[in-house]
Amino acid sequence: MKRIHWTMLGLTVALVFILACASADETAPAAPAAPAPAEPAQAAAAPAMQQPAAPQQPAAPAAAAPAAPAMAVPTVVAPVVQPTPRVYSAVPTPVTTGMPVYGGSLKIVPQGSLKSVDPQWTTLIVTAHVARHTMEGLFQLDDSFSPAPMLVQDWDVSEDGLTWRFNLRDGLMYHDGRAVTASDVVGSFDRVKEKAGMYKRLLGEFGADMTADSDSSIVITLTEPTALVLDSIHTNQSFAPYVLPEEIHTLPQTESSQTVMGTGPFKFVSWAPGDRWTAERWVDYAKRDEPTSALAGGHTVYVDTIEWIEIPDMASRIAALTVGQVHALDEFKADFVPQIKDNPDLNLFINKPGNGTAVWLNHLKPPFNDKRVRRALQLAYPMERALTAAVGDPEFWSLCTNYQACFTRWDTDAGSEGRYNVQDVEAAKALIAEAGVAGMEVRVMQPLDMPVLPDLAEVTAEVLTELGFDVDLQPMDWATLGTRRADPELWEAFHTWSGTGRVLGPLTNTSLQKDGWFNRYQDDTGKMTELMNKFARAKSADEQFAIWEEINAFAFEDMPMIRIGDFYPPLASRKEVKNWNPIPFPVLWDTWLEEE
Amino acid sequence: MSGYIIRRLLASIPVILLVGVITFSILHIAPGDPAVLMAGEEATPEDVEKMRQALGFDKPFYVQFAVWVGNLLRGDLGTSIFSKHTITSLMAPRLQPTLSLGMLAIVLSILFGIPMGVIAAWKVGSFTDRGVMIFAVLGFSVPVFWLGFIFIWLFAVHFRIFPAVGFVPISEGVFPYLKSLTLPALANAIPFSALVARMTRSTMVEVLQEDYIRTARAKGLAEFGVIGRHALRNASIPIVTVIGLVFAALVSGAVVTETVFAIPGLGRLLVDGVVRRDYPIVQAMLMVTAVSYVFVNLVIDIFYAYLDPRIRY
Repeated sequence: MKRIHWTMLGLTVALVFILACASADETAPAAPAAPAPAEPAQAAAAPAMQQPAAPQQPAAPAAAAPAAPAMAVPTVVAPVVQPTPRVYSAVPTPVTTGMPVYGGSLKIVPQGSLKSVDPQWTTLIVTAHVARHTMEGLFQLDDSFSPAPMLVQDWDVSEDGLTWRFNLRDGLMYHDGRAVTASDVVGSFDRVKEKAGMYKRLLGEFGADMTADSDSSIVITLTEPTALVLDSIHTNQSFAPYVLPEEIHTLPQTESSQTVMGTGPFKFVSWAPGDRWTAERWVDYAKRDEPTSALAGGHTVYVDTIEWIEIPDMASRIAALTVGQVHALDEFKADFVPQIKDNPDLNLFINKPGNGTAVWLNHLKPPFNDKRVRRALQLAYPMERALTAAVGDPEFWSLCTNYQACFTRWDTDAGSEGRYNVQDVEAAKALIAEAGVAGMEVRVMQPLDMPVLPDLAEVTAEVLTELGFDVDLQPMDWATLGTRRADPELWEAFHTWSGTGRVLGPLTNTSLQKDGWFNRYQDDTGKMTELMNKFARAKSADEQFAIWEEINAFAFEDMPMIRIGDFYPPLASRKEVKNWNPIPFPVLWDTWLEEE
Repeated sequence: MSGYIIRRLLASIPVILLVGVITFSILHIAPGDPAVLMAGEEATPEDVEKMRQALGFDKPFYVQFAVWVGNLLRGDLGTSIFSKHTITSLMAPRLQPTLSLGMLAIVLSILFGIPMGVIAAWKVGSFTDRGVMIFAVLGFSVPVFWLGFIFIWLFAVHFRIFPAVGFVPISEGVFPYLKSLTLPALANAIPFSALVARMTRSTMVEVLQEDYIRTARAKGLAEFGVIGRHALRNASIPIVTVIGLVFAALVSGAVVTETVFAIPGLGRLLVDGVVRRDYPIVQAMLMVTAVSYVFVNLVIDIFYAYLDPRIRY
């Protein structure tokens, strides 16, 4: 009997001890099990800026790059352990030590769950990861976000700028050994002709027609010259035009392919939905001669296999990285950064330019169809407070005075003075009174299963309440918000973010275009449409930038949405992962494992 | 008995059909549209509408329902809207993790719960009894996800005894398989063992007051025999009921545990389906859950007859 007493007492003490340890230790992953966040959309396309002054045959791919650098961010933000810095941001910051080592299986956790392997069917970022490793397009983005040739060997342009001929590289093969043909290219572009952001514009506005001239050359003819051709055929656009074999490109775009077959440096091996997908080094990969540069150039694969393992819970991801069950994490919540920084076995990366966010307003009905009311919200909105509430540590967000992305070539403050982060509530209230909308009901949709956005919705609701509106803050999940925002009768405001695609330019920023997105911006004066058309026909990067400044100024003037700022999701890896440069694209070539 | 089983099986058909109608209706009434999610954040309203048409969601509700029932009657649970895999092919690889986790959690719940309940009832009102009750209240009150995180921190991150996340199939070795299941099974077992302990204690306390127990003791039976053969067997019917329901809950997917420990089981399939509004997956999973409950209830009823010879059908 006494033994039983002691046993029970021991069990109780042990339990209490465990509870005490857990609550005392700050590193305990005690965050509640949040639902797996819905993945943001793949970086959508966008345009130009890197074009030659006039359509002409570039002497070399690099000639297409703009004079201005794409990124202007310091490379190392906060070295933690000397001599090797462990916190990295922007591009490119090599983590190279020693000689490359072949072999091993690199395990990485994606930010969401893979639901389809067809990048021409969905724009989800997790699907883009599959595509970037296993497929290739005619052009892919380099680390200055310029389109650089990938499957293309060379190209030329007729004197009138209306005919573009692209020659494919010799010896291109799919993973099953079949040769890549020009008709595959035409078929692949044809599959996404109604969807791919920039290519669709090339077809619609410039009358583009793509044909196979021979087995290895493609011709694009235009009805009007434009500097946007290369920007319209690279793979960083929604429903990306990767070059795919016949059995895939002949599928209707609305039908998802179950096959992964491309020319990329990794060969797809398997996919266990809800668990992981794997790919292996493709030994016959036709590598380009140029040095690797983001998605472009010659990629070398050092690891034998890559495994993208789904771990839905953020705290569990950190634990798995800490104990070495996985080698790297794609984007995760900034709340967990201290655990990474405190661990000398881990490296932290900060994804700049990251994501941009705003308050999207319903332009089709009162009160926000009235420009005075939009101006009132713009004048009153506390951008810093919103970003602090939603993201926290200022290392992971910044104010941003342009409607594309900060720390990029789009940096400008044109039109923002007196209109951004002003926090003049009295002036805002005066405008509300003038518009006569005080007391009107405003429904703010709040997606609780997403990071960042619920807190932004809280701040917006608070500001609108202060301005005298009757605010209905509506909690829901992202799927519900996605449906409700399609009906303008059901909401007045919501928040989302856009990703790396922002750095490419304004032409596919549909929120800025008349009736282009769910905010249903009306562009009553027609000026925005006029500026966009002007931008599309600009002849040089300088001219494009000048027009972009006009667009930005007009966006602050007419407010298609209320720009809040940018935030930068962290990524992490273990120290045995060498030469990994995951920003802006977490790709796994040119990276090796140096296991101890 | 066989007649009873057949009657029960036939009676379960309308129950399952009713579940089907209700789940289909609720899912289609609920807000959220898979076409929106599938089209992506960059899609325009027109793109979404095209996607909806391609998926057949623009068809009237009754047409969609008729198609679903027709497929179900042919044994076709449907195809995932997103991955385009058949539901059966998605469920098959998830059975092993979920069943393994469920079975191990049940075994641990019984191994901990019944002895604790018996001892508490045997020593009712004592220090031991109170200790068991404290465990039962704590164990049932502490959220499973919290227990999961604590176990990961303590046994995986701190002591490095068990893996933090993931499931190793039994084909890759029994030891790694058990190692991968230990923490999630423990996290699941603690609340359920608390439940079983409470149920065992309360029924045992009643049974131990019965005259036949006093008689058994009076005729000189060893205390172990009195508790084990006479008291526990007579107290077992409510315990079996609870264990059965716990089993049904676990085999249809321990959602939270599978999420915390990144186990690719049926629970996560269901959650992913709900988050994505992947209707065929959710409908199929709810049907599977309903069938599990019907089946487990039948097994429990049959087991009653074995435990209590007075029960005959």
